[in-house]
Amino acid sequence: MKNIIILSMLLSGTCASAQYIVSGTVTAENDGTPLAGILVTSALSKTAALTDSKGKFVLQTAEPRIRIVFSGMGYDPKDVTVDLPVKEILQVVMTPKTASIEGVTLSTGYQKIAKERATGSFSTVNGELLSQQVTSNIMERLPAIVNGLMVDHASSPNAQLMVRGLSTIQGPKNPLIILDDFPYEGNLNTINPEMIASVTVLKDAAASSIWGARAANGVIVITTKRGKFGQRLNGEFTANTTVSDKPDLSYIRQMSSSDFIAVEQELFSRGFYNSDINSPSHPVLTPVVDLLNQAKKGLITSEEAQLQISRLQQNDVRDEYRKYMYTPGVKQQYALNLSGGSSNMSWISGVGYDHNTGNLSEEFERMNFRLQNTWKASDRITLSAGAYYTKTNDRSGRNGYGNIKVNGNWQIPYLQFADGQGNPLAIFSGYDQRYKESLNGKGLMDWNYYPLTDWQHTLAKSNSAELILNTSLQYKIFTGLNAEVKYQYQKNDRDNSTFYDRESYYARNYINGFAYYDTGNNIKFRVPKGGILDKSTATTTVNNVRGQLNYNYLSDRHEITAIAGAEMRTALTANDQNRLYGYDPIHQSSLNVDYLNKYPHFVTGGMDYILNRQGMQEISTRFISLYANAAYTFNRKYTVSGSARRDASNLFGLKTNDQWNPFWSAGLAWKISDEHFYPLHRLPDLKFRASYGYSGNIDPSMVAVTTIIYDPSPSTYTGTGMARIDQYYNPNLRWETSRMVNIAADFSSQNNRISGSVEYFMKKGSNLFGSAPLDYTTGIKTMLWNVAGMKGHGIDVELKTRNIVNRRLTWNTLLNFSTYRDEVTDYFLPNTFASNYINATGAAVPISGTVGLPVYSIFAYRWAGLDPQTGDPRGYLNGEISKDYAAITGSEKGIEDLEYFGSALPTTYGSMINTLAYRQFSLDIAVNYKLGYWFRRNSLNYTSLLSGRVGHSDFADRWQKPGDEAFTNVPSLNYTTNSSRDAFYSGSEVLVEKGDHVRLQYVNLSYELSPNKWVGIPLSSFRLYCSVSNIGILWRENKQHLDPDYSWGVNTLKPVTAYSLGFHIKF
Amino acid sequence: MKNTIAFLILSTAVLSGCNRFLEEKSNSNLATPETLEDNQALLDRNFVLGLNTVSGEVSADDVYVTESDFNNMAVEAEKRLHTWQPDRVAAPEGNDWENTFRRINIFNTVIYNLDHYDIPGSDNVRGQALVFRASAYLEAAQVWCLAYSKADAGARKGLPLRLDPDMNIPSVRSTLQQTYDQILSDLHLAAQLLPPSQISVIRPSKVTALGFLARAYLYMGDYEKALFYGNQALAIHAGLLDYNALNAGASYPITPMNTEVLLPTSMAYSGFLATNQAKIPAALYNSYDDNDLRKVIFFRKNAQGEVLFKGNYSGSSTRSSCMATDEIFLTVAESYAQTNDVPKAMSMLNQLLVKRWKTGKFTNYTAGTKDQALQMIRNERRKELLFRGVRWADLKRYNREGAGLTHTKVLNGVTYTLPPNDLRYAIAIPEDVIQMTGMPQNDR
Repeated sequence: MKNIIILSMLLSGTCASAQYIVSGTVTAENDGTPLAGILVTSALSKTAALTDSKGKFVLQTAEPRIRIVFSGMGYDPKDVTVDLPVKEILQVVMTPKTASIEGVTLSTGYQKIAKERATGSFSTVNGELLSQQVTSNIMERLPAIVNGLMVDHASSPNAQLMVRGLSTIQGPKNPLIILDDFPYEGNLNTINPEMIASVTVLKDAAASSIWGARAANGVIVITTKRGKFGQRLNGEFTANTTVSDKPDLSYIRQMSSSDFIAVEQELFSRGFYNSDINSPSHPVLTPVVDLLNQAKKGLITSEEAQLQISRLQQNDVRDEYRKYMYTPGVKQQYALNLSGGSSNMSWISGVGYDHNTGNLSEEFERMNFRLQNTWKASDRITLSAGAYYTKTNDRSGRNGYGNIKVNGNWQIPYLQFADGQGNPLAIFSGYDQRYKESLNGKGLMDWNYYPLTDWQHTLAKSNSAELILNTSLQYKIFTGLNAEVKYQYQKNDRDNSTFYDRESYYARNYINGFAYYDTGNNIKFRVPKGGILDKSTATTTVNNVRGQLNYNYLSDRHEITAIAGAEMRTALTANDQNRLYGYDPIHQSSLNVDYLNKYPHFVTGGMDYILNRQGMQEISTRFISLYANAAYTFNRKYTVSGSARRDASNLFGLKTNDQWNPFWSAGLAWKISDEHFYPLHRLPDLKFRASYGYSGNIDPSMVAVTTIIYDPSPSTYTGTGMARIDQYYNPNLRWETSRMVNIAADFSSQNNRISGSVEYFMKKGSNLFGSAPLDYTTGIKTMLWNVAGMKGHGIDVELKTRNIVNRRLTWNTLLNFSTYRDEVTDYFLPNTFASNYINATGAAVPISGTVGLPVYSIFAYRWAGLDPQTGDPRGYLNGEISKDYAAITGSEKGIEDLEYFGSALPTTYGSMINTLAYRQFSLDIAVNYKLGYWFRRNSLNYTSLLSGRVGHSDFADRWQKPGDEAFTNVPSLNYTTNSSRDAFYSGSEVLVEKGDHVRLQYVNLSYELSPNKWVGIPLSSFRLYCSVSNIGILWRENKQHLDPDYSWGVNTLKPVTAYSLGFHIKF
Repeated sequence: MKNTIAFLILSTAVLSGCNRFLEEKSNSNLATPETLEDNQALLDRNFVLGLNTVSGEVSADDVYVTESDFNNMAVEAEKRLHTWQPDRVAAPEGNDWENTFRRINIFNTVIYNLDHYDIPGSDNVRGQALVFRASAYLEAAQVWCLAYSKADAGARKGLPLRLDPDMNIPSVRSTLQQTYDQILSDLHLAAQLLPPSQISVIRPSKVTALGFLARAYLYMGDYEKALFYGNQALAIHAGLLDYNALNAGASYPITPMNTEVLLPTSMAYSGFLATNQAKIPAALYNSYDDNDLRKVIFFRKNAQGEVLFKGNYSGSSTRSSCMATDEIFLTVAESYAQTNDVPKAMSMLNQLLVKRWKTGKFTNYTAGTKDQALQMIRNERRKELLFRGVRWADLKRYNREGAGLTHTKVLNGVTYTLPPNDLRYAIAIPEDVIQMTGMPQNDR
């Protein structure tokens, strides 16, 4: 609210007295039609006008000579300087903008709405803003620039695009992605960003309810570039190369090798490893334990062991990864778009090629081809057809940090991948190395694991080919009413394979595992010596048909736009997978194995089947929807709109009658600046709008009966299928409903020096589905349930300012500022155990169960410091300082016993992009910020260290002697596990940090050559650019040097800084 | 306008075809469990779950872990369980209570489906579900309840008897009498419904039902009935493995699904029962005669000479808790002894042991008195049914009958003691369940 007051103070101004009148008409260059809604402004006289439906305008001014600027959606702005008084009426011809739809037209996927008359909330970014970043995936570019959009790294380890905060608790949280007209089912990596003209995010109910149930998490509409009628051949070509650093492995909070070895030595002396060392099943030992054991057995001298151990102490496996695994990444992008049109034809075609080599030498290749044609067959009939073909190939590379495994998730900090000469070293893996060595020469395959070269023998590939065909027929029934039929066919074929060749450790280990001694004591193999190939294919076929009536009526006072339609959608995915043994890639041959009998493992003797990977599955989704949307504008000032939709689908187990979900919304808009009493001449454009929408959601997994799902393979014992319960019927479930209110003002000052919007939204969700922990005596530990009600509200401010505008220097700023706060209004869960609100390391933040607190809140156990005598962590139990960890973390303690910190989701976020243009140079600097939230950092867990061999750099700061408690909170090492003690420390308040930070997202510098200086070169523009992205954090609140967006788990890496260089030409 | 009408008519026509359009199954692997096959498929998967309880075996006296292994155990609740703590012995991330009732829910769902969908010819599937449910409750009663005795079972706490899959029904503890009544009535009904054998032992047959009846009555101390049902079971199937035919050198010599197995089930994982950590007390190992093949088939020593168990009836490192004929032989033997038929008791025992000893080396055991016979049979029961999930129940009932067994463990200088008939023989129900349901905790 404060912002609005400041704005209105800034923008209030005085009235100029008018002496002259300038009038004229504005028409379009391509077809001569009069243009309505063109903004006519005179900066000098501070007056402005809009053209009417016949393209006419009247402007009053006091100056004898003025410069008039004409601007409007989809057209290049035009300057005209006139001496007054004028005799004749001004004739202004405006040129349509090429190949991009400007922000002032909003595409919902069903229709294009003039922003002027929109009642809903839309954020839109044009191609120019999008092209400031160089990535091969369009979605990666959005969070840095789109208002109200955020990537949530805070509530769960899986980063999630989020439009205006939370809408649901359970279920898929991905926004619905629309490519032109239809939902895009597929990998967003297949879309070439260079083919995109604009992206519109539908943020409120009025904007998104047209998409029904799938719009619950917001809708992102991607609009591709299109050709124009009557446009000469246009082309654009862009090429760029991006080089990225190696990732910063020092960010991994790895325990030092010397600390780790010291712990191993102590545990060895305490006999911790005896059961493994002495085991007849030969489990793997770490190199240090192995050396200690050899020395103990007298196989080597203890001096020799110490010498080797002291060498290992010098190793840091991060250096090994850095040296042998990670490389700088290189990405190349090329894209060519050609477009043109005649009076009744328009077309665009494009070719794109991307080739990325990642930090682990993994490769991604993409080829796009596109053709889109529109043909005006007659006055009444417009036909359009297009094809979009994409081929992508992925290939795996080396192993990243943590993926070279000794056993399970052990993290041994002193592993070595190569000797001094760079020759591959075998690392201990799977089974005891000495045992493996004892098998040498017995006829088994080499059982050593050489990570340095193993990646060359394990190749995962994924190839996909996607074809999208679309066609539409539009028939004008009479002026204003047309009917259209649109059809889109999408087919995606994906082949995935992982080939472990016979040199790979995986294949050798697997083959040896099923080897056996025959009666003559010779080694025989049950799994043939050779490669192992895992293959899977997935074919997705999507058909969309839509029939829609569009009605437009325009008169002086009335304007109606309405659509109504029906659509059907089918999507069928067929999956098929298999595994081949003894695979020979040259002859494409494989060998049979016995899947029917269990065989003993060569080392452990455990009986097991040879893995059969054969399986098939078909998934079919079908939707039918009916929808309508209408808007009526009176006097160009007052707009009312309404939208309704019903969906039905083949969700399994639902009766058809239960499948029709209603959605509706209504909106109002008032262009107050067009009122004759409107006083703010400094703010010639001001519109208020408001909307309200309702949706009811039945979760796909809420079904009317209990359903079961069959395993891919039948039981070996009976030959018949095996099934498990998939969903439980719950008669007590109620529909989830949500309501959203949006109130907004759109404004722009004269000459658009300041423009933007301020929006306030409020949402209320009732009976939200969530995963509820049940009394598991029922047999069900968690179940989809109506767990909570919530309300949320927030403000989205988008401000575009033109701070400096002169011939040489311009400085523009785009500021996105959003707030979001939510709270639990009802809570239905049967229990509020304290431990349920403390997320374990690496697990998602649970829903907080206290009315009035944020849906995702950070709670922690209260901390009473380390015990000065023992270094044990201390908490509180019934108000007393306590070390009864099982009780503190037990179920008698409720949420009220915890310390509450605040929201786990940023409550304030946004971005600021400054663009400075000086002569031909242009510099864009984008800064993102997230404020007002908390996160739990991870630290040392002794149970993980002792029994899981996972350390943490905090070990170095642990309490070691009385007095240490003054400067550390890291508990002492006890040489006995106590998982409750660890759970208490990792959930305690000393590990809660503020998440607030500001990030420099990207800097882009471009240089525009003036082609008019080069005679004979047929270029209309030539731009050179370089950019740097993921530069890093400028400011953070936490003192741990953690990047709050990348703080999950111990192995999380920050995204690498990338440097791009490229050019863009138009002709 | 005409076109508008035409469009509307078209849309209506399309929508009337909707129902068929929307009836397409969304996933080819999904089904509503309306057929006999579907419900059989739900039961058949029970075998792969491996969720039978470990609490009894972790608490009993057949295994120990070294102090250093104890200090290295990942789950605090299990350490408490092993040292007979009165509370907080169930790990919140997964425990026996959860695993037991998860299985019971599947069986209840099947029984419900058979009625709800009125599936014809369902006797066999229903019988299987009843055996599974009763066996789960019987096993659970050994973990969370005190030993059954007819005198006070009506006053002692039993289990919450969930017989309907509806999760909205609150959990309420029954009496111990009601718990056993339910187990017995399920088993009796199942024995009537089931055929003498099935296409695979993963499906309980009539023999399985009778075997569990014998086990249940033995636990209850009703030796006449235990004898009766044990003999009925053996009358249908009395196959025993000859251990002379097994390869003692193999890592896991006992083949899964062998002739003795009546229902293969396996325990959940526990660090205390893990292959390398679970050690067998020397006294127990030494109690096997050198001519007793079990000494080499059940055990191997690690490099330090500690004794590890490899006689799993799963044929792998998985700890099996199967119902098998060897147990029924021992149950019948014990019941004969209890009902004062010592010769028959010893005969049953000898029939089993002759298959366990080296051919020609076994001389029949004899006993002069009932007590001698009982002592011998109980010793052999422990030696035969090692790691089979019955020891905890046996300790409980031996104490009930006055055996006066006291157990102690010493770890990190602390001595833990479990006196005879201690209330901690009924292991604590997970505290979160108690909190959520308001059910009373076991007495302490």
